[in-house]
Amino acid sequence: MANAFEVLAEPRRRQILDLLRGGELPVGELVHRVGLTQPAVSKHLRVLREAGLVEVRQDAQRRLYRLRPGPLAEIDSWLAPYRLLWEQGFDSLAQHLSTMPDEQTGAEQ
Amino acid sequence: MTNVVRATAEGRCELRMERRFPHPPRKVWRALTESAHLSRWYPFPVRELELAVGGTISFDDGQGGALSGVVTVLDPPGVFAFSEQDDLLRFELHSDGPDGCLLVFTHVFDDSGHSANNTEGWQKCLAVLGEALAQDAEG
Repeated sequence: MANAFEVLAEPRRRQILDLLRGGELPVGELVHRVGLTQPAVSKHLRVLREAGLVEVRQDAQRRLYRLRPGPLAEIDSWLAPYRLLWEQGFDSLAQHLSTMPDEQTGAEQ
Repeated sequence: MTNVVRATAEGRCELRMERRFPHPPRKVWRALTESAHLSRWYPFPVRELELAVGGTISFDDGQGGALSGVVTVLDPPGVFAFSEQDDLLRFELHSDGPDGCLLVFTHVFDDSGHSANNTEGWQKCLAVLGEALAQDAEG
């Protein structure tokens, strides 16, 4: 299995994931929207599938791809503390800036 | 404020946030680089700040220890960057209108401290990248 970053370093694969955020899509539609050949798109989809980012189901003659919810569900619990830390920091910065003199004064040093 | 997370070339996670302030870059620069000001808003109080490239910067971790690093970029009033333990913090200021400023902040960190094993670690990084894509799509 390829390293996650190798998987996502390829911009077309990121584009495919981006397109799938809107919902399930057949391969043909992905080929059309990404603007690559079908074999090229299929190759990217295989890599994404092996990395556990997308899953596929057969619907009559079509193969439908969608994002796998598992990895995406973990977002908040993992990132939230970082985001919160800095959002609070920048809120404090905004507040502090509003009380700071615009120009440097001798008293500040 | 916009948030984007991506993987760096080294395989680390980078959180990127942007925020506008109705103050000129020179003023915001002072709030970022002068200890007394920095301590007022940074998540940790400043212990030491030697304002020079290669200079020591350290913060009080609130538990009797220090978070230490070095200043890596000092380009007033545009770029201030430093390490903090294994993390990298970078603040970029851009003029935004006559009296405004756009702060572009990046925090590069490893996933390893937050996961029991590599598989879980990169699953989480993927999750974060997925969110970045979501935000790209919304934007």
